Amino acid sequence: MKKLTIILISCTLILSGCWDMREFKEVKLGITAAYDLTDDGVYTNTILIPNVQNSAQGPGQESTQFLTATGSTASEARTNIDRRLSSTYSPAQLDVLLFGDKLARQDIYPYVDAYYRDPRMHLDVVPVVVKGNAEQALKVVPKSEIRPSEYIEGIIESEVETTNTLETSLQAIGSELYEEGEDFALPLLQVGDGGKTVSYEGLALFHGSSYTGKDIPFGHTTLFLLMKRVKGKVARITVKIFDGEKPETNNNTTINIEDYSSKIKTKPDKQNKVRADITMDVTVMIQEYPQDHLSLSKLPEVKKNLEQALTDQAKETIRIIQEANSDVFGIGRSIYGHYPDYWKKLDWEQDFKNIKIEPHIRVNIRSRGIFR
Amino acid sequence: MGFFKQKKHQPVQEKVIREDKMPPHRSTASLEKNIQYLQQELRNSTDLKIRLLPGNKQALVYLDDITDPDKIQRYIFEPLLKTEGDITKIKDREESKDLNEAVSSLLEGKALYLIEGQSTCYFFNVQQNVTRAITEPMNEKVIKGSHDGFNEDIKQNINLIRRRIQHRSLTIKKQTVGDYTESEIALIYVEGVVNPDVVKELETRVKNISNDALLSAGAFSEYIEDRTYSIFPQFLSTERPDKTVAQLMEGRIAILFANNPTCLIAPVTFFAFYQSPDDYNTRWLVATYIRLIRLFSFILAITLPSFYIAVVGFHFEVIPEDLISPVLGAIRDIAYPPIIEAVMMVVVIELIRESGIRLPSPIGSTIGIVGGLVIGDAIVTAGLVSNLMVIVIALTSLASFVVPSNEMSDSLRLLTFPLIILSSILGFIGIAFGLLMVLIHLCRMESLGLSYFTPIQFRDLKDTVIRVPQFLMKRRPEQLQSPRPYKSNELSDDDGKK
Repeated sequence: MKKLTIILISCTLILSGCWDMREFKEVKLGITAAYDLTDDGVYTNTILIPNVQNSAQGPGQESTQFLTATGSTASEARTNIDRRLSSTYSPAQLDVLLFGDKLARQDIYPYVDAYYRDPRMHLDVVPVVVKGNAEQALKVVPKSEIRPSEYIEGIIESEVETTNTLETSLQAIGSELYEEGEDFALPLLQVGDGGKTVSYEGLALFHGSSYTGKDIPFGHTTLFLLMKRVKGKVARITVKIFDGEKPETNNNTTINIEDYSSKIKTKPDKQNKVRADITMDVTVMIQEYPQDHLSLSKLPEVKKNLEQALTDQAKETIRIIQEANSDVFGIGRSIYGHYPDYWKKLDWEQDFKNIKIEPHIRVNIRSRGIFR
Repeated sequence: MGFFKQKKHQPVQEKVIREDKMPPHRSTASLEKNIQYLQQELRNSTDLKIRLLPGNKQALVYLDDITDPDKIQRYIFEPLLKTEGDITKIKDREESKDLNEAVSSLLEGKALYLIEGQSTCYFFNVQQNVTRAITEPMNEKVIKGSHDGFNEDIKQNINLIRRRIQHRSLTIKKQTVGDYTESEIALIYVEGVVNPDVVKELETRVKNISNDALLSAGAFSEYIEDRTYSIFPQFLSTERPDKTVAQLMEGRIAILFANNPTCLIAPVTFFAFYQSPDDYNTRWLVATYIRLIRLFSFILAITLPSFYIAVVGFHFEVIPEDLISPVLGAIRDIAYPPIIEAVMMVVVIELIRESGIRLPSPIGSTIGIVGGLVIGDAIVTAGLVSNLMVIVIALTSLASFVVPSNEMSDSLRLLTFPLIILSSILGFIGIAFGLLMVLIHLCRMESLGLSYFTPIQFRDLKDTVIRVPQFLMKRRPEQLQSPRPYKSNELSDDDGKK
């Protein structure tokens, strides 16, 4: 009896197991995928698959393969891709997901839904919006890159380091996709140089799960991210602090943010329904100052102009955000948390545009350069 | 399940009586009859020498091959000349009137002196001692520390231990095992430090061994160990006297064998197999670092191949994105599934290892180079095994050789197989199941009735996972339940404070 039991148990083990085997070498992994909506209302899905030549010695040479398929729904487009591949397509290792702005304006949720459901998928896929055609951006493969499949990912990563975009992923935007009180922003790319390069253009503002069409332009992103309390390894801002100096470049200065603190205080307000105060203290180092007569007597003026310029920039950014109706600071969530009764009376969809958001920026110049 | 059973029939065989339990056979006054009996009992063996002395009234009987002619000259003939033929005046002698005792004495290497008209036999110890010089054991080399090792002579081995523990409480209990071989074994322990229940348990087990021949320490351990079907060794075997003494002073029992340099130590814990005398000769931080590496190598040795198989076969999502293209490049054109690759590579490594052991050392190293470099390179170029798999298996076998104990290292290499199979069937879940079973098994095991995988509590970590400075190791291991739990007369707490 004992022997029979052992045989039966080992049979259940051996006979049931291998079914689930998915061999790595028999799968085509998509690294980057792009979704577009053409003018005719047809969905196109393009994927980039890295292929490696056999490498008995050293790492193999990587080549990339592009596949484009169309379909009337997103999943049909994906099925059409699979039909053209020698082995099964798996998006499990996807790193970047590109959306054409036309499609993003509609709704991105249907395309990312599968990632939240299938446990085998990566949730740290970076969703990115492309101005124009996403497929075109995907197909830009500069020869200088060792691993062409990681070109776009590399752009985003380096921008995160210089505080121009925030580290985002499907995991990070998961709750904001449907939450009323907070929205999100995604990196915005554009194909430039006549289709030879892809450049980072700023942050695309979302409302709900669709793109509003409004962006925070590249020069304003650093200050915006600092207000949102996100800082990469370095943060530099170039602002215009003087007027009418000759030559024109002398009007500008570049500051390096060494230390900062930022606080957003929200409270109900009679006049504007909600009032939010963004208080920010930054300690900066003057990195570039073409006038080169930064004496101690001039410093207070520079400081004052700097504060003024930064506040202006912040106000401009806030104006764009409110126009886009994209609550990226999470002011609604904060109100909901602190004044739940008051929140019930608000119609955030309409009210956000009219609330008062006031930036208060104080600058402290710590260093003027090593010669000074 | 009567189907599997076979009919049993009991063969008939004569009972063999051990030499020391032979019933006495009285010697007679006749020299000839006595000699005849001896010849008959020793089956007319040709190495039985009978030297009749002038006058044919006296005879010296001995086994030629195990006696020393020099000693015969010095201990028998020279004194005989001085006493003018009177054997009773020679001092170093034993007497007996039992011829069966005479036979046992002959077998031990004694010479027998018989006189016509007397029934008393006289024995002289003229045994020839064949011993090997004391050398460092080949398989347990250390960098620092004593370089002596046990050899085949049990007396010399006990000598090496006695010299290290000069105290009256060092107890040596000799017994013989094996009805034909009568192999001598010695149980050695320090009374007052060792747990008396464990000694009693071991003695009963040794007493119950019934066998014609006891050939090796390994065979002996199979007679007395708690779980013969287990993959893990339950006796620590060593040829190093310093290691033995350290274990004796912890409160364990050492078992020495005649004609065998191996010393078995019991009861042991799993972690004892990961300790080396080197640990106590180096700085404690260094020793801790090396210990941690050894324990890490335990995990590496049993799980690395299965982990790789699970990743490549089931869960490629966990491969970091920067590794995707190198991994893909390596395994793309391999014809076989990863489990076949792994088994193939493991077999290759075992072949190289086994052939390296059997061959004389100059050729052995050549085989290592030919096997390792040429086959390793060619097998990858031929596309039979991916270069990643070569790395994985090579690392695995390196990790298994890190273990200071040879038996444990063999067990580990065997243990990879079930895990490889499980992981190729069920992926990570299979590994989890496999490791769970190993852990359950380890926790259930006992060594001489004391737990093998001693609860890993903080106090015992001091000399198992890490090694703290000596002054912090105030207690003996908890597992042994020693009657002398502290290592010194001055009782102090665990932090070394009095």
